[in-house]
Amino acid sequence: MRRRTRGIINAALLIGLFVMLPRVILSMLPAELLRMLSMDGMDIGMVILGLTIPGLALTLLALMGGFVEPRSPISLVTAISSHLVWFYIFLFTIGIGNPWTFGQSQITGGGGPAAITFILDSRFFIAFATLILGFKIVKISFERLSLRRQSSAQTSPQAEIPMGSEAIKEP
Amino acid sequence: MLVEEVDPNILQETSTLTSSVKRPYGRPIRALHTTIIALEITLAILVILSAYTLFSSLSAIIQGGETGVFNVEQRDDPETGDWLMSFHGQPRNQGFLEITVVAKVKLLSLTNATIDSGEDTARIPPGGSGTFTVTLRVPKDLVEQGQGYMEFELHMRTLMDLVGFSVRIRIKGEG
Repeated sequence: MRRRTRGIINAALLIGLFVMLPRVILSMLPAELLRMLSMDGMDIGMVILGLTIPGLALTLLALMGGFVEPRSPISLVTAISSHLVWFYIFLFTIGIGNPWTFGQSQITGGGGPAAITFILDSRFFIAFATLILGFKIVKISFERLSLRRQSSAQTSPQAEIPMGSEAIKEP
Repeated sequence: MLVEEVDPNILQETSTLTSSVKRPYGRPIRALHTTIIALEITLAILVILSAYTLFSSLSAIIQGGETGVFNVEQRDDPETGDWLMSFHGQPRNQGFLEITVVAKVKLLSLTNATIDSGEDTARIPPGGSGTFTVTLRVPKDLVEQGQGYMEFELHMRTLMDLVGFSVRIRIKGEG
């Protein structure tokens, strides 16, 4: 019950953070700024959508995490997927709306005889975040392995009961 | 994402089980947990420091006025009639990390062939300022035609040149 409540609260927070908050901020931005951004080739609507989709995925994963058995393979997949989605959001943020630049984003603007290009190089941070992601996946795997070992160690006396006994029959 | 926590479900699950059985892989899990937290805090600090250093220095350059990047001095070469254009800059570093500023100026023909180019680099410690000068020679016939491109590139890097950004401005001259 506690785990489920936590999963539901996490899901609600994620919905608020990635679905509702960007839209509230967008509605508060001055129209002039939005016009300038769109002139510089940045589609703010696509940026919001780009945050909403991983936000919904994280919400779903948080709900799943709250309802599945922690020792199950689904729980392991859910936890790893959740970290992968967070990594995608990091790529998205660093790439100023384009995650597949992998830290080397470019914005081109200007008009008339002048053209201005901004190139942001943050590949070092992406490499750093990838290292952290790797450590997290290893840690999750160890945690799940630890749980499995513990549960199998606890149930091992039952395993020694001879076959045909009532104790090992499934209910 | 930035601060990793041990999954409470697992802690709860583990605490009920550890009453009778010692937790396997306890040490590697704790070591990984500590490492992840340390790395995440380091990453957050580096991102904040680098972003602050780069953007504060860029805004100082943009608002620099007389000490900004685009101070241009033009002289005539009396022998050839060419123009000698010097671009001076005195960028200031208002951040917390050392920055490297590279200024490049290119003169291009309408067919994108490089006529002349120059670059200069300045390494600026936190709170300090540096200078750079780039001089270009504009041939006399190009001066008379007045057609071509002038390309300015400003590269700013910090965190031992690991991160940075560049601004490239290309202006077309139409005689």
